[in-house]
Amino acid sequence: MSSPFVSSRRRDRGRTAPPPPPRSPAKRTLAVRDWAELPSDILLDVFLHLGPLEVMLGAEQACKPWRRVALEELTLWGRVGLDERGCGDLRGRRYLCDVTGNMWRVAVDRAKGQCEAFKGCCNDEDLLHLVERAPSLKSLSMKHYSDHQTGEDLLDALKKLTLLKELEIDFNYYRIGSDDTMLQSICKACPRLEELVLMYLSAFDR
Amino acid sequence: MEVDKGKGEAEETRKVAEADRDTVTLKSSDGKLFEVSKEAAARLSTVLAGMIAGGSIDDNGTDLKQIGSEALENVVDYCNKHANSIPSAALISSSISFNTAPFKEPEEWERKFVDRLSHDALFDLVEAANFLGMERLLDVTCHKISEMMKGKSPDQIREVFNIKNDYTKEELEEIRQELAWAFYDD
Repeated sequence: MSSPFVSSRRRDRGRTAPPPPPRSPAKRTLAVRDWAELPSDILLDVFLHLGPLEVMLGAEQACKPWRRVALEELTLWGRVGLDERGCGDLRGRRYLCDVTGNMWRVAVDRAKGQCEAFKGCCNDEDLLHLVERAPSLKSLSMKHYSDHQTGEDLLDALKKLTLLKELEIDFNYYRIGSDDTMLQSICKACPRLEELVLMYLSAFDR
Repeated sequence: MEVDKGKGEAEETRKVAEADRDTVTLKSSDGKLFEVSKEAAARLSTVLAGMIAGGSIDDNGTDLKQIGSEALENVVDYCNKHANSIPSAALISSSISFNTAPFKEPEEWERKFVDRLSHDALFDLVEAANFLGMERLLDVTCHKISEMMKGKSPDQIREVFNIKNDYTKEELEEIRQELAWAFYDD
């Protein structure tokens, strides 16, 4: 615990600023603590609750110490796109899929190769970016994935993600009946796979 | 060894007496005393559990010099409320199972407990929870703080948390560039 001394030192540094008013019980509800001084391990916990997208668009821009925590703590970027809830309400920002569609590249890059889980909208080009920048992925969930129905690029990419344990692909095209060939090829490409879910559009989706 | 024996026995007797009590007394940095259920303290705080097991609990008030009376009162209040609550089984989990740290949503009473706190009290409590190794309280307070940030712009967050903008215009511009795609084009 570092706190009271740090903040008083800070106040002393301000040359022209008047001394802070003494705390009276009546004023206790106003924030007096300097939250920029929140210990970094606690702030990381808060950021993990908040999720990478919210951290990027709001909290890390509040002050330098907070941004430092965001950039230095690789664990924050280890699970990109997961549990991003309520992103649609962010005023003045693009829609969920657009935002996550762009933000995840920055997030994955910030993990410096240590990203272990990804969930989000994904096309072949996005998948190549993941293979290159997140080679240690263990869990991958691709939404609205389109491989132009050949499957070759998909299998090539999956072969390179050698640590993959969980894979979920939500294809953006229709299919009648089960796709045994695709299932078998994926299982061959990813020997460590423990869980595999393939989903296709149904007639009810549109 | 012989010389220490008497002292060791006295220590042993003191520890036994201490072990018989079902509460422990904690002393805040400003000298106020608080009593808390020993069982709850040991269950909820790894630091207090260690002190109880190691016999370093003082009958006249165990010094917690890092924690002020307001925060310690909240810690004790939390422990007592926790001891009387029936936990629910609700868990948040994502569709992907390898979530490393599934977070259990705050119980109704936990939500009320953190909601009534001022910003300053919340700041002190989260630090106290961190210091005492109280995983659940830390989780609940951090969750509350994250809710206070959710959906807010950097300006709004600074206002809520009394934070000075220490960025230069150039630095802010640099960040905006990195994140340019996230905002509507003007």
